[in-house]
Amino acid sequence: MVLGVGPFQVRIRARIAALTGFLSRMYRDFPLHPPDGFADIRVRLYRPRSWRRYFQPQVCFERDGKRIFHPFPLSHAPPLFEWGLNWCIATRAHQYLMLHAAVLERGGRALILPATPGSGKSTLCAALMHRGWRLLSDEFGLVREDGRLDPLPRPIPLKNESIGVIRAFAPEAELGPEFPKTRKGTVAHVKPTGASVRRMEESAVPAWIVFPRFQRDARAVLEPVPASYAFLRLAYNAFNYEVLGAEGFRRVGRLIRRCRHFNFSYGRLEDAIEIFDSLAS
Amino acid sequence: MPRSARWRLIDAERILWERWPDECIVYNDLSGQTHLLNVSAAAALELLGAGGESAETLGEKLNVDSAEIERLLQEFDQLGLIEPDE
Amino acid sequence: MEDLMVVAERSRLTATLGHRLADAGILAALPGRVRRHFEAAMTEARFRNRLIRWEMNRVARALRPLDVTVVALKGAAYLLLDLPLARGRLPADLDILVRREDLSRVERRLTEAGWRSAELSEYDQRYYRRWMHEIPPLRHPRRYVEVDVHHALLPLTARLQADDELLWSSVREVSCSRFRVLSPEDLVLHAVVHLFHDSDCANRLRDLVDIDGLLRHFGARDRDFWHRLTERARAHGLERPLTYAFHVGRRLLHTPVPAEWLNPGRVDPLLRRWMVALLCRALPPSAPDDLDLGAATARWLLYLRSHYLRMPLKLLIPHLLRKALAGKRH
Repeated sequence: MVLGVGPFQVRIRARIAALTGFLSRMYRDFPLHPPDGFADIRVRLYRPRSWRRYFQPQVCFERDGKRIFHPFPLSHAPPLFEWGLNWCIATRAHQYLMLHAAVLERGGRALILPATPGSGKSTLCAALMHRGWRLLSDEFGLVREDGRLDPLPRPIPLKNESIGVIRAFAPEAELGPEFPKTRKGTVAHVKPTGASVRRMEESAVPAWIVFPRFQRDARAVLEPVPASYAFLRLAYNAFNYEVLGAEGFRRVGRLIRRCRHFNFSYGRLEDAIEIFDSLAS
Repeated sequence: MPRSARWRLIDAERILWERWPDECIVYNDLSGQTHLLNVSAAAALELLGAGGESAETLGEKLNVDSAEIERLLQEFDQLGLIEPDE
Repeated sequence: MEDLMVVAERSRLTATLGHRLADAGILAALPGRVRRHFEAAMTEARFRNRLIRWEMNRVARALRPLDVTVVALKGAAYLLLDLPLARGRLPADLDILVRREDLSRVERRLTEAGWRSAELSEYDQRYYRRWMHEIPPLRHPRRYVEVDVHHALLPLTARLQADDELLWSSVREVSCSRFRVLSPEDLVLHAVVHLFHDSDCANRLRDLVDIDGLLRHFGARDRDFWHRLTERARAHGLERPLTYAFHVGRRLLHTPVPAEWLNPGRVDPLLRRWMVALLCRALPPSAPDDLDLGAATARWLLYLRSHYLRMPLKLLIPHLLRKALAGKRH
């Protein structure tokens, strides 16, 4: 099948029940393209021929015939697919400056949340998506040549406690199956909202760059930061800043000039929602 | 290197600038590296782009101690921003 | 079209193909989605080339106080000479050549200036120093590029060898650089030696594409080039591999070798045909769906041209292939 995911058409070859189930649920409203068209990304998931085949079944991920990553347990085919697809995008899509960030939109303007360890980015992203923000992406800020951001809605992976947090915060959220004991602990995915998927072709103008930091019980504080600080943090956070060279420098510069930039610490999701709502109003 | 030794930017066209009131970020397309400069460092780099300068001449123009400028020039040389002006 | 992209990606020729398409004026006319793939690959190639140029800059700076001759090889040489084929390449290492007697001085100076030897066992170290033609690869901790310092062009144990003294005799300067380069003929022959000596099958098609690029560039500029190349091959004792390279290049890439220069080595025609057939099978990457590179290319270019220019099919294939890969505007 050829699945349309944001700007990419992904040809997926796999005969793995766990994965097929996951895809038909999490990517339910995504467009399917004719199989004889031109796909941007070609992946295959398969069970390797090994002596383990029957008592410790595994699954492998392949792009263009070349295996990527070590084998995963067969039941983890869905997270393997998601991480593999991320890798395929991050290593090739150099038409974009690719920020490692969550991006959400409200009123045509985009909020960029660069990822850092301890930011709680995915949890924050899932929460905002269920409070009136359209999801562009939970992982990739795709900055075009003209400075606008292209959407790449995908299932949002939550880890460990965050799963419970989002279930409580947004009971209407659609969560996929839980995958225990992955490299990142227990992982479950939040399906992108119908609105996010429907508007998958609508780019957004960047307006705010906010560096989040989650600290249990902390007061919510949004504090402006100097442009140079935002510039360097954003540049080093991007997947392909170095590869783009001068063009990367220019795109970051334009982004910084167009946006307001802040550091943000928070301990409760509700506070975060409130602060971002007031930004957008 | 004597303080009168002259230096200049390796290739002014390959340096991109983003300027703010108190600081400046510079990208060197030769090395692919990005640098944060304070006001005097930025001013020094600009002068080096306009023509050959030495630690002495820069010190005078910027009103900064030439020993400090010398350290700055060494760093610029290390980073591949400048080369001896022959 | 997608098939071609897969083959191009697997042989890591997407950027090279992109540049040739751009030179032929076809790239801009491609549908956006396809074109973006080539452009993204060309961006990556530009990045890798920048890393190599910068590494050369740093090495030149470190070796400033030394009075030694340093020759840039392969990708680095193509960059210094600004050859068209350099543009789409994805060089991983910087290969330089110094005289054997200068090797330890150069190694010491680079180590002082911050480069570090790859971590190797004692056996490996000895293997490198004694039998390989280089010291263990060096890498500066702040950067990713490996610097391979050679003092001969092939391991001392190899059967196929270029004559090193002969190489040094025609090393020449390049403007604006302290690095020197081999003569055009020696650049080709070095690439030919690599093609036949490279144990990494995945790289061989790219090696052939390099040779094709070199021959097109130098062959077009100087009618005497083919004569000099033949003489040089004979002096090195490399006329047989050169013959095979010519034939395989002509068969797979339509390399324009003039008929009268096609057989520098006196190879038995039957043997030659067999060798060439074998190489033609071995060089293209083994695709899981059993793709034929030539056919896929032809098919795809066919589609394009017919779509945009409506030429009769019969004329299309040879015309297209030659145009697209020759880098000429039409």
